[in-house]
Amino acid sequence: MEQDKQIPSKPDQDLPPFVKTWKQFYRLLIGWLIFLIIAFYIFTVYFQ
Amino acid sequence: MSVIDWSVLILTLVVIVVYGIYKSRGTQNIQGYLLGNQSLPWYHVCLSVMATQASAITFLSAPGLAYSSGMSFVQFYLGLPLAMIVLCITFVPIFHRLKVYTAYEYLEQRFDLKTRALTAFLFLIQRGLSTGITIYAPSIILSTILDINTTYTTLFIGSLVIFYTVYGGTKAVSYTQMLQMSIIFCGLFAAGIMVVHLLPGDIGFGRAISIAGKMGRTNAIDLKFDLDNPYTVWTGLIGGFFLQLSYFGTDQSQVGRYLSGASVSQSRLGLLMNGLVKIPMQFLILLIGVLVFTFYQYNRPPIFFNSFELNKLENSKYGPELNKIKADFNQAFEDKQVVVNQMNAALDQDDQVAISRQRDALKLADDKEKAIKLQVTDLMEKNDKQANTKDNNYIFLSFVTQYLPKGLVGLLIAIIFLASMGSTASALNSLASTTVIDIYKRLIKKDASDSQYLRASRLATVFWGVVCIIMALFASKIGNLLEAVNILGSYIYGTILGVFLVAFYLRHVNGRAVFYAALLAELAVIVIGRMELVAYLWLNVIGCLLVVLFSIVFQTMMRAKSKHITTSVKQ
Repeated sequence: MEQDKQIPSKPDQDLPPFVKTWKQFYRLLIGWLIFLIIAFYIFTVYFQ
Repeated sequence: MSVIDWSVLILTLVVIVVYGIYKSRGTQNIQGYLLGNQSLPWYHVCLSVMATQASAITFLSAPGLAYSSGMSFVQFYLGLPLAMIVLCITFVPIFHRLKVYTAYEYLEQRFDLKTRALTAFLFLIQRGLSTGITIYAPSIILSTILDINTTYTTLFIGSLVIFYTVYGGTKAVSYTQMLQMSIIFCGLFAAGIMVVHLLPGDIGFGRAISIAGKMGRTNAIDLKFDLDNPYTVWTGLIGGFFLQLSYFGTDQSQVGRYLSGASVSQSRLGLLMNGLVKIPMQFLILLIGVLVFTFYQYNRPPIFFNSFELNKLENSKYGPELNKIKADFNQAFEDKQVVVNQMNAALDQDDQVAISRQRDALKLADDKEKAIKLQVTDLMEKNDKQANTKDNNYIFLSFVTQYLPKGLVGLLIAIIFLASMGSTASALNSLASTTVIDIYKRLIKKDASDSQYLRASRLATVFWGVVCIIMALFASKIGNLLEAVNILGSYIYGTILGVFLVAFYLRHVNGRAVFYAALLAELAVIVIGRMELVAYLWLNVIGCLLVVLFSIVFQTMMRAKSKHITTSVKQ
């Protein structure tokens, strides 16, 4: 069971899920951050 | 606590410890003990870095902060996703390629031994001190429930963590953290639902947030640029970025977690997922604090949430005076409830004029309540100069034990234990790694066998466990524990990050220049911090930039001097 979950060490050849390159994943994360800031700002203004 | 709660608490703790020990059995070499044989998948890495950062302090202090001053603390984490990206591009591939055990090992390869020793030493000081606070936070829970001194509860928690960390090393830490985080998510979700359920029938989730918002508790974003305010968007994005980058990039308690990833990709994915999840998670924890705040607008809160200190005052010669203040407090609460109901009616009718008027009235009522509470803390100080007059850390705890149903109380208290155990275990593991790899193996005994290093690692874990317990016993005099840990980190992280950034990006700077630059920068940070010239998060930026600047200046000076000597010799 324990062995099943372990992945043998290998060089950096995996691609990230959902997107084609790591660069796209980084952009996705920046987009998510911008979305959160806007959403929190709306939350602040709406409820105050 | 009821028998059911005790059963849930004990069962959860036993299951976690046994699971960690079972999963880490067979660890027989230093690589397995300190890096888990670099075999863990991304979701292990992600949950492990989250559990390391989210200590019990997160679950005790954060709802308390939201209750007393609102949700602005969420901005502290805004720099985290950006820091994760920089880590994935720069730090992770380098550390994996060089196959280092600790981050500081890299600095000797890039600079020299003294720079490695300096940064390792700064880390040991910072992590050793802050882990004491991490252990202390949950120990106050048991102390409140059992009404016994925090000394015994601190000893119990510290010993439990030392036990499984010494036995299983990194694997035990990582496996227990994965289970801990799963239980934590479930428990917090249940707590959020229960708070809403306990509100009056006509107050739904949205209305509860609205009422708290009218009293200034939904201030999640502040766009003002104010160097003195620790929680604004800019402080979070800039100061928070530097703090998170230095924490995840140079603090061995985190580096050790993602170095256990099976490959660069698995480590990267774990960190990036942390970047996606961390801010919403923190937001939800603060939101629970806001809901608890609304709950206490309809249910009279205790005048002071730390029942131990309150009982002490009640039984002192100031007891009669306290009773008078309590009567004022009760009256103020009754008055405020009228205004809260009027606000609720105004919100029902969407009457903007009335809402605005009630908002002002609520602010006055809130200020009055705070002023009365101040009288209590003044009295506490009069009675006992050593009294703990901050009750932020007790707010959520007090609510959980008084109002949540049997079973859930035990689970939520278990969560606070688990969170503390997770981050403490990581810290002990990293303190042991740094002590053995950067000090013992490098400076004291270079050619010992693998089993000797393994034994030394276990002994180092016990040693640091004992040191942290001793530090925890001194932590009771610190106000908000969460801030205390972050302030302490801000004094040191910036300098260490500066050294790493120079190592990565300024290839022409040598070890001598960066070493003296780091010493001078640390001195400057301490002076600026002590003089309180800026909010503490900015110390990370200042420390980092000063190291970079001084390194360039020293390197230029050394080069000029060397040229001058060469020219003189030739002449």
